Amino acid sequence: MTIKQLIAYSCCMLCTLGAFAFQGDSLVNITSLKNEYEFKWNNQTAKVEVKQKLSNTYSSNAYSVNYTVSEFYNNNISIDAVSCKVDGHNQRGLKPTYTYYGQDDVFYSDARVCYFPLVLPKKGSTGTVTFEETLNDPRYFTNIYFSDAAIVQQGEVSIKIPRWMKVDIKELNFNSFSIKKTSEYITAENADLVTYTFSNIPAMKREDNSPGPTYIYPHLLILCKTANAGGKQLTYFNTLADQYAWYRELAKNVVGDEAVISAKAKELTAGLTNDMDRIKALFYYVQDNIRYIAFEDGMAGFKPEKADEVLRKKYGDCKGMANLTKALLVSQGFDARLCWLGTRHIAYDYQTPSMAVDNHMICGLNYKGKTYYLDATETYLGINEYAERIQGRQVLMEEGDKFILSKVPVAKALQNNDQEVSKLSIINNALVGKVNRVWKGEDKEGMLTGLNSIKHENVDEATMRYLSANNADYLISNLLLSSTSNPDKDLTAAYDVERKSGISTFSKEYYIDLDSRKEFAESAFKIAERKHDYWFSSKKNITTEIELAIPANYKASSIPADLNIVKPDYEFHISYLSLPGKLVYKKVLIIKNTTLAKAKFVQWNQDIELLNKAYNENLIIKPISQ
Amino acid sequence: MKQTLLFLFFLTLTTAVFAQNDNETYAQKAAEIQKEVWGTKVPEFLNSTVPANLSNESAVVFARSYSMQRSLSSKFKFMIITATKTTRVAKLATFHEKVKINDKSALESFSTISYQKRLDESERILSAKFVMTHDTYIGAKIIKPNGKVVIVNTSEEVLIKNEKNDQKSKLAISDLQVGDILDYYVSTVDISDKEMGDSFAANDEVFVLAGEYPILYYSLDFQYSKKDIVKNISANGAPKFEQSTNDAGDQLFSLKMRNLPKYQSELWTSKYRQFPYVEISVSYTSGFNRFLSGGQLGESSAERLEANKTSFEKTFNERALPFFNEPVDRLKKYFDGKKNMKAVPLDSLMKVLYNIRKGMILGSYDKDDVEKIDAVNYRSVKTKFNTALMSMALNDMKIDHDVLLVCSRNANTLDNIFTYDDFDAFIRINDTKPLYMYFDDATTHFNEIPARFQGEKAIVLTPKRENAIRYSFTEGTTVLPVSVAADNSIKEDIKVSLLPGNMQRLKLQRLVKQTGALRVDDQRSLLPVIDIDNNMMELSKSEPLEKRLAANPETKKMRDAFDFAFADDQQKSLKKFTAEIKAQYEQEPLQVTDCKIINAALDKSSPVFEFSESFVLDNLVKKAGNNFIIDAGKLAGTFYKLQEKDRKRTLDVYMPEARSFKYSIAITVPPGYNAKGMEELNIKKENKAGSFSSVAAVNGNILNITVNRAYYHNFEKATDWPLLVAMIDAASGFESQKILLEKK
Repeated sequence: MTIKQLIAYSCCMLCTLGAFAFQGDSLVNITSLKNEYEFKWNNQTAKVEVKQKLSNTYSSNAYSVNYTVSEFYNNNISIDAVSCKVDGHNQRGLKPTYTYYGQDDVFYSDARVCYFPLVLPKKGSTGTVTFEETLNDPRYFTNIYFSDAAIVQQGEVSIKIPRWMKVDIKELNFNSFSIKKTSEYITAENADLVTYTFSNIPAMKREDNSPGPTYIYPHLLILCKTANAGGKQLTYFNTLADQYAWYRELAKNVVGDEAVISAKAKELTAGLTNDMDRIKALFYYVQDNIRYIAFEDGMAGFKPEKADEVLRKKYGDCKGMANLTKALLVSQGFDARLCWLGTRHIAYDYQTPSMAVDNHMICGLNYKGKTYYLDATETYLGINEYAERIQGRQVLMEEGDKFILSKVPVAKALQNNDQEVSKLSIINNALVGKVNRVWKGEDKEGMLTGLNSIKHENVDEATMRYLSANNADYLISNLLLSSTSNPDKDLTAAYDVERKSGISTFSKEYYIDLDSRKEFAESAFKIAERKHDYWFSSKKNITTEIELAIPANYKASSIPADLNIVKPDYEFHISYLSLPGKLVYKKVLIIKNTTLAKAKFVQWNQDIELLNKAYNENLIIKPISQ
Repeated sequence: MKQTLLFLFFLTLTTAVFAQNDNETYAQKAAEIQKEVWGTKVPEFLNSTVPANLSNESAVVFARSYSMQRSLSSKFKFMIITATKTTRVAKLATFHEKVKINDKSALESFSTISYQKRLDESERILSAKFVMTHDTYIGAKIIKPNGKVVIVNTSEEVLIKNEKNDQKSKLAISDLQVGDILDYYVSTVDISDKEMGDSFAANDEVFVLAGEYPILYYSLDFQYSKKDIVKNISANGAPKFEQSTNDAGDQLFSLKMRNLPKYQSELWTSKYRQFPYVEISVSYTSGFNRFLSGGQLGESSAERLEANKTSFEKTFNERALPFFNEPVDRLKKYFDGKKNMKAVPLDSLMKVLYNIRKGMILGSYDKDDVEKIDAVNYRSVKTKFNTALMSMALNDMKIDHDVLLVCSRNANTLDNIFTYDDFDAFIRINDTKPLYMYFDDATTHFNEIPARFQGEKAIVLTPKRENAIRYSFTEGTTVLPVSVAADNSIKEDIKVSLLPGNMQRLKLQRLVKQTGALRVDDQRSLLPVIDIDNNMMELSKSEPLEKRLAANPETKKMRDAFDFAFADDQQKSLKKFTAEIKAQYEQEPLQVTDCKIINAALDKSSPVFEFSESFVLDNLVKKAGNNFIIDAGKLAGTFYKLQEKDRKRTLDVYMPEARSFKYSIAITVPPGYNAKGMEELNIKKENKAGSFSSVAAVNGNILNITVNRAYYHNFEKATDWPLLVAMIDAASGFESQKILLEKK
């Protein structure tokens, strides 16, 4: 599973009928949203089903609005009926399209979409769209959102729960929204009817680097626990142990031909005597040789592919890669386990047993009292480095018939580093010298991902363009890039530079702009437009040190002031140190907390302004005689 | 030759397979194709050695082949009371490639494949079934560095669409790694009973003879039935097809090539003028044959041109276009009668006639335009149709004129015209000076030749009405005139001041004047749709929008909808100006105000597109002690910077047009400061390809910088590329120039 799958499933579970994208659409409002859910016992299948009737009334804010109404479904959800009335009449030629729902980074998924154009001819025209659906397994009934791609003016969500069905409902992100809950016991049906009414729920809005939908939008997390119907006692995810048991069943016998795995592990560790070297050899093999391809296909979205098959195919999704990593390690006698987890895209954890809790699988390795979490989908991270998306996340780890709940360690910003050390001199009105760059952790991973996506005959050119920030006046020569194939080593680059754009000469004075990169200079938020918190993709630790040789008979006549901003979430430091014959510029930019709450945007913008002010201040070097 | 025969034998055999065994299962057919593709020993496909000079390439194609064969068979379709004869076309095309994967980038490119596995669009008409099916068969094998061959299990595909008549698949190639050789093919089988789709345009296939990766061997083989009419061209030095027939009389076209370089994109190129390509097409319907006067079937470029020309000439048909004279009727109305028209000079008369026709086309809307109002300014018209119609009208008015047939310099040459879409048409009115009418889009003026046609050779057709359904033409050639740099110009007056409250921010008041080809992009993006409509209607004294909408049954009840859409478009004006500023300065402007269109320039009489705006830019002023440094070179916007790899060039340079730019920048020097550094801004460079100059001087408290830049021609030989490089470098060098405001 991947993050995308959660979105797809969320879409399936959405109580509203959305357009393809989670994007506010001012062409229409939803004047009335009514979504009814009911648990029913199906005698024929001997299963509990969830019947849904979703009904939205759209009002047009413009003329000739052609609004795409869509509803997601998959192997577990069927769309039984669709109807559409415009201004009280059946929409002519209504012919919904039922098709595969493609997502850029998912090779295959069982997500399907049913869509059709809702044509609203006039401003104020109304269209009422109804979908009737059946969900065939309560496990897949995970959440109900109150927001939609359009503003919801009035909405009602009701869930009829027979007393034979045990369900917990968690209310999330209700915040200051006007949402009321009522409960009513229906004697004739021996069922409870839980109804939520709400109004003026803003449209969903997709923004870069925003938290996942489970953090943002008001919704219900549905926890289907047990059912006692048709003479049967059915247990879904009553406890986390139930969920684990279900997962464990799916993850049984997924090694395949152990001899094949064992032979491969032996081949990969041949000649290695040190345990950690053997562990690395196996993990890095999977990282480097198994292509990540996301499959999200119903049950196969939860069941890992057999390890020998992943090895043969040389591709797999996160489950397949974790499974192969585990199998290789186990064949060498290590204590490796499968671990389920939700990346930080998901707000939930295993306190609420549900299939909506996790979207990822990695391999846990217990070695000498320490657990290493091995995520082979992170192709260029070393063995003790963790990607931001899994840091601090709760992990459900195999322990035979039981399980262990643990957490992936949280790395400090120092795990990552984008470092530049330069020594420059002024020669012929240019800044000339040597530069050394080092990338560590997720910065290294980002660089290597980029480098490996480029045809290798173009790598040098692309690297130079990156290093120069596409600045034609930043001339690089003698570039030496370290090997890109050793995950244990930092990525380094060394080169000679001639910078013409960082220096201006007026009379005999040099005005020097030492910093050519100016990270975060354009990162102020448009506060009026940005709706959600900002999540950095990883912690940042950017360090720059530039040593400038002062020419003979010259002095630094004006040195910009230092900058020191220290906030709980980030730090910006810029300093100039004047030494005999040279001047040293140091910059340290640290993002300690990758979550920047909207409430902190004003402060952030002020600090970015100060940072820019520092960036926009030049150093003056003039003859001693002046 | 032996190889060719072997290969052709395979083709023949396969045709037979698909022609005769309709009931075979998909798996059986797939197995047969696999046997034939990999069973046919083409020596080049046995090669597994990468030449030393290509060892650093991301991937190297050892061999690539594309083969296509089609067969025809007549079928009777019995309907309820009658029968019709159709021709069934069966087409098998196979793309086969063997490639060495040298890095992860190539691995990613070759690791998955998506394809339409099956599509059945057959139709039943009465009791007859008209077949139209498409099937795809794929195969892949991997040759490991140790020589081990792994056959990829294609049944591992996933169906992303799985309906009875429509199946789409994706396959991830298993066990593929860097260092492997991938040998794969994609075969498609198309069977069609429909004659409608069997045209030269629909069957046209173009192969540019360069690839993403170097190709050591490339073969193209086509087999057509003897009844097929086949046309092909080899352009820009591409080798000719070898033609022959087999025992069954089938027509065979074959091309074998070696060591094709990889395609590398370069600035200012014209793909269909500069890269070798072959184009081949076929039809069993009358096609070219119908339009040819001689016995040949368009084998030569002259005959192909003749065929297309004849096709165009046939559109001069008053019965088919009974309303051809409507623009002239409107012209009479415009001048309040024919009598008044006589007093009007020909050029003025023709300008009005042009604007009338333009208004008739672009002043009409269909219902869908409401939903995509942003696209309305980008609508273009059918040039050949409108040229023919206007020519008939001019003929009726007895206006001496010619019709010019011409190709865009961004597309094929006249010699390489292949299908009817490969050329355009103009009107040339023969006044004391020629006057041109080209029906293009809303921004094009009367007597304006779009840059893409300038300097092109054109065929001159002088029409003569023989009767209502036949015009005859005398023929000649000409070369279309080319505009000079001054004709395509941008002039900007930019007043710059440092914001008193924050001296590191600059306020810019910008007045922009654009002419010729350089005005079109901004006209389309900045002019509100309704302004263009109003302007066009004023120029042609046409009906108001309400009347025009009412004349169309589709839109007659949509007046409110159009009003809403136009108003909505107008409201986006600030956003559009902001986008224009952002594109010019590559940064988000602040405080964008006073955005005004001063002259829409939709008519030749007032040809300068003029607009103004005011905004604030950040990050162009640096502080140094008590002084300020202004990035003066960036005040004219950003200039193109050459990458190192672009400094050498072997391809001729197809510039979009000759063009010139003038930026008059006036910076207010704040009180208490002196401006320094002007001497660096005094630059002058000129050669035969272009010029760049800048002059800076202080006048009172105003620092004036005047920048002039021009490219003199729309084409330069590759040998003159260094001259252009000098101009590009001068401009990009200017961009880094700075001015110091020194505290007194």
